[in-house]
Amino acid sequence: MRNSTFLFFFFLFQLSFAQDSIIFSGKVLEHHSQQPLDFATVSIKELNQLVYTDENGAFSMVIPSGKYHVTVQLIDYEDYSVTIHLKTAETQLFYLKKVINEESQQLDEVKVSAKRGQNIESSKIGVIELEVKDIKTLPSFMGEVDIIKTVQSLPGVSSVSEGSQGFYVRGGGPDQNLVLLDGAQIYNASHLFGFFSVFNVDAISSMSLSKGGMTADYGGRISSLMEIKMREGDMKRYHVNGGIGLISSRLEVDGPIQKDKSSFMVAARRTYIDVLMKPFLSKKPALSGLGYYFYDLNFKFNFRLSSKDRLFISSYLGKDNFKYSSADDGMSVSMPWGNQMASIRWNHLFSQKHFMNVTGFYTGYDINFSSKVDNYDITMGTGIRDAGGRIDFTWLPNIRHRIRYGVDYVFHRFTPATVEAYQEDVSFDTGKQQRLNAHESAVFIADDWDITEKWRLNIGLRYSMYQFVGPFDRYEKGPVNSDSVTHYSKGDLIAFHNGWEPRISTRILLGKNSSIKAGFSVNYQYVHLASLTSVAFPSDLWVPSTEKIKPQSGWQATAGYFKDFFGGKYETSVEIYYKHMYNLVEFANGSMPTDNVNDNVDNQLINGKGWSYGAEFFIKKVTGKLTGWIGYTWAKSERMFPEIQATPFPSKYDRRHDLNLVLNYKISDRWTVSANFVYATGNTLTMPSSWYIYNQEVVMEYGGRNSTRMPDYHRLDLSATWFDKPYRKKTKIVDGEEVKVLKKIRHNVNFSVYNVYNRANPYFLYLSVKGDLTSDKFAMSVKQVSLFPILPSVTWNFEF
Amino acid sequence: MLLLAAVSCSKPVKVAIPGYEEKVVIEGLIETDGFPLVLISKNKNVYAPVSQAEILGSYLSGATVWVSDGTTTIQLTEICTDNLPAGMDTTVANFLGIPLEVLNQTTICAYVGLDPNFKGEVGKTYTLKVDFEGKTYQAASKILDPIPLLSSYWKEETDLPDYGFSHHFLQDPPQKNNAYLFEVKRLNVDSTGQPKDKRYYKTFTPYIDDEFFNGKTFEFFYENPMSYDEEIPDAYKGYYKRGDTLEIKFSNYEYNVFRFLYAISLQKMSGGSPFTLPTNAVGNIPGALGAWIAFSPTYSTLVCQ
Repeated sequence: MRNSTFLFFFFLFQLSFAQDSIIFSGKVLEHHSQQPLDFATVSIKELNQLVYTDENGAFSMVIPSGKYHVTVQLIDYEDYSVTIHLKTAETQLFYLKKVINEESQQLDEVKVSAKRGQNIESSKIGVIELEVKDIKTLPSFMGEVDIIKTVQSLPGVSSVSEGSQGFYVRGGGPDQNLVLLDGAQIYNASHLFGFFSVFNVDAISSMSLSKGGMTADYGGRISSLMEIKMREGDMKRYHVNGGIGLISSRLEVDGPIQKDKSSFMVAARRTYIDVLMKPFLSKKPALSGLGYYFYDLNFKFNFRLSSKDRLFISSYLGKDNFKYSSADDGMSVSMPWGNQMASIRWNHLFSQKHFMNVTGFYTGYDINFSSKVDNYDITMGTGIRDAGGRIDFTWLPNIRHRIRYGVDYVFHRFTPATVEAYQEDVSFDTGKQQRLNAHESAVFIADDWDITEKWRLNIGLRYSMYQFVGPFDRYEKGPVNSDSVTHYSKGDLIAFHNGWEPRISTRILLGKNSSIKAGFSVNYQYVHLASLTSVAFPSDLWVPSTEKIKPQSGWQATAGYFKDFFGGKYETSVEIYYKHMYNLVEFANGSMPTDNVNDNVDNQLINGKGWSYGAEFFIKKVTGKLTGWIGYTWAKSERMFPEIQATPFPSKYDRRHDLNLVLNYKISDRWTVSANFVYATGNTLTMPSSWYIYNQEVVMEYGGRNSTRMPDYHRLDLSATWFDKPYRKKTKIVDGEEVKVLKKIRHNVNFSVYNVYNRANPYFLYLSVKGDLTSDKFAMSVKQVSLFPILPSVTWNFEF
Repeated sequence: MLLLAAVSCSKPVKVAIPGYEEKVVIEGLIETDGFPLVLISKNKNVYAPVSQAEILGSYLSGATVWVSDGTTTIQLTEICTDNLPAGMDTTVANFLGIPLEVLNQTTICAYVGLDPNFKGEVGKTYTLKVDFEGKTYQAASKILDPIPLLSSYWKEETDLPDYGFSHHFLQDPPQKNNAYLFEVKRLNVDSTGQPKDKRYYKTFTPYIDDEFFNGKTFEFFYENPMSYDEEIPDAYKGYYKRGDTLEIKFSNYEYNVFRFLYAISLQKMSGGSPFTLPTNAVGNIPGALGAWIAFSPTYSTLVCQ
């Protein structure tokens, strides 16, 4: 009887809930451009409920029917409040206007992050988000502000050194970061050996980096996910942005194709180092034939097909080109490299609770080298091309769940190395050109689940599969003159790898201003970057997992405490992590550059494992005249490759201490000054620990792998940015009132000084041997090579 | 690299380089029709003193060395420069390229087979055994069939009359992994009537294997390595002058020996640059650094005209 009574009341409760509860959903859009605004808050005062909009500007909540006071807020935008009588399921569109008073203008220029509250609210742990406008006043390097360099100033992320491409997250390698530009992977995100990233700040709107374990909807890398979004063109007005810097200039144009229906964005950047340096280099005969430039082109088109359908087409093309020629020596060298990428994404709303993204993409990275010396010609190349697609769904069944699920697929074609060499009519045997093919796919599901008001759980599962397929020739190296070759035909399955990748992260609010978060993730990675050099270089080889080389895998556990102070003016966090990595790839000892002729690259590769752990401390001041952050990381990263060394050794990315200070101070409406200071423990490298004489030559005997540590790295950069007045005064004809009107053309000038105190930071060390061994002038010393002394620069930026 | 070189600067630093471990270095060779020769030294810490006397004094005495061709075993004779027969000191000083007074200030020891019936023969495998400081080291190496150059010629540079490189043709055998060493010296005499070059010199990239030209006829050219030490205008360095007479020593090596020598050559070319993988030269003597090398040279003469 008691059970029946309980069921009766439970039924009544469910009935009343079903009758009174409605789904209140909608979108928050920018008033002029009608672009969706993410991380806006939609709150209902009477219910004390608040939700954030997603990247499509969408929100949804389940509430009892009734009359409510709804407030929509986003920093930099005017608050929007409205009273709505919600009787049935309602879909609302809210348009927010950008604040145009001077007070908020100041805020716009100096703030570091618009996403206040996210520090403690989000269930994601180890996530960095930046908007491009936030970094434009920071000190620049040779006039170029750079989103990746800014990311490297945050805890847990570092560059190995100046002149080393890529970035390194929590002790992982540069190939362990999935860099997506509008959904398509960028394999080499660097220009000029890492001095600049490929991301033109005028073409980019925002960037997020997940270093604490990505959610289940992404995979393929074991360290981090960097998502970069290109700007979308304004659907109402045309805009032009640009800048003229010391070594490069850039221009961006965007606007409507068909007003309110479609828009475009085109951006270009090119360096002119080659042009500027020519008069100086021509005085030195040995360098007169030297030339280098890079360029980037970005395109994005945005179509509003219907109220429920949008289409985005993005493309990027970037190229570095190095040339050297010497008529005296009869020699010419050309080395172009670069990325190409195109993606198309269809966004469809089945309902306000259920929407879909369908993405197709192509991406490629190539590096080529050609040289001609007298009658000898040699060309070499390596690269990777991907084509693939992805379908992902977001489903908001109720206020407590946000479910993402879908599938993705990519076809990889690797060209580990092609070599062609000729001497007039003699063609050298450089081996059969290898093209390696692989299919990579995954299914995933993840739920961002508010279990209670304070406890949020993001739980997900990903299953990834990988097939290495023919055509392929496997070279089996035997004793001298006894090599054998096994041929696989097109489509033959040579190796199959797969793995389950659970992902979980959680957040528990501790009052209004603090939270604790923890996460655990497992990732598989089926492609590898193999380097013959001590520093990451564009010529490093992308190679697939094969029947000999297993996929990399790793797990990471992380936990952190997050607290906001003074109403969110200060955001602080402490995070600790441990990461374990399996099947990492290195070239075997004694491998030589020519060893892959008539051979497979993976015959020279060996697998090992690695681990890293550390603690990250972060204090960020979000608002006010002074903004910026201090980040400190203590970390350790080691590798174990028994075939290289019997004991664990530090990884190339091992840095015990890493301190970053970024400050931005608004002196007045016209002037902002910024400072960037970095201190880091010196990098590791492998140096000769001894030497000996053989046949009257000095022979180096290298010591333990990465056993030498270079001197510490530290540097201070300063900048000052002058802005023209944003407004002009105008007198109304009707009543003579004087009003402020936003200027159509605005500009600013950024003055930067890189490496203010001219620190000679180590790029690499080497053992210098001078003089004839048997002469009395023979000398040996360890030398440090440094790259950049103090470098002032000035950049003029404009927009209209 | 050129671009980096244009913007970079370097300075000496002193950093801790762990991992130094004292090892014996064995440098042994036997060539066709030649006596076996072995030098023994030890590796040095990178911060060890590098005076001329200390370097020359690196070659150690006190070892017992045997060489066997499979049927005959001989013990090599220890010869030190402080105990040379009369008149030999000048010859040795010339061979090492050092002044006589420097040679007299130090002691250099070598182990030489002096048995006239025990010289290198093509097709034989020679085994080395060294007892030194309580340890025994062993290695084996074979003298392969010689592979001579097909032909050579000198080519005058169009914009530098009377100067040019030496060009050579090689017919590589069909078998893979043939490996070669190119050395050269001029037979010309200087103003005193002495030979200009007292020993063979290696070119900048003297070690080649047939990875790219297996079984093919291949033409290559080399610079004049001796010219870089001469006091001549830079524009003429690297070239042979019309009238020079060259003696080319072209040797054939076992492939594992080539890998050892090629690694040394790569080290020399890279100069410790980070753009190369740190590669140790792995020889064929377990427990020791260095290598025991048997090789078969061929000789040819080229008159530059």
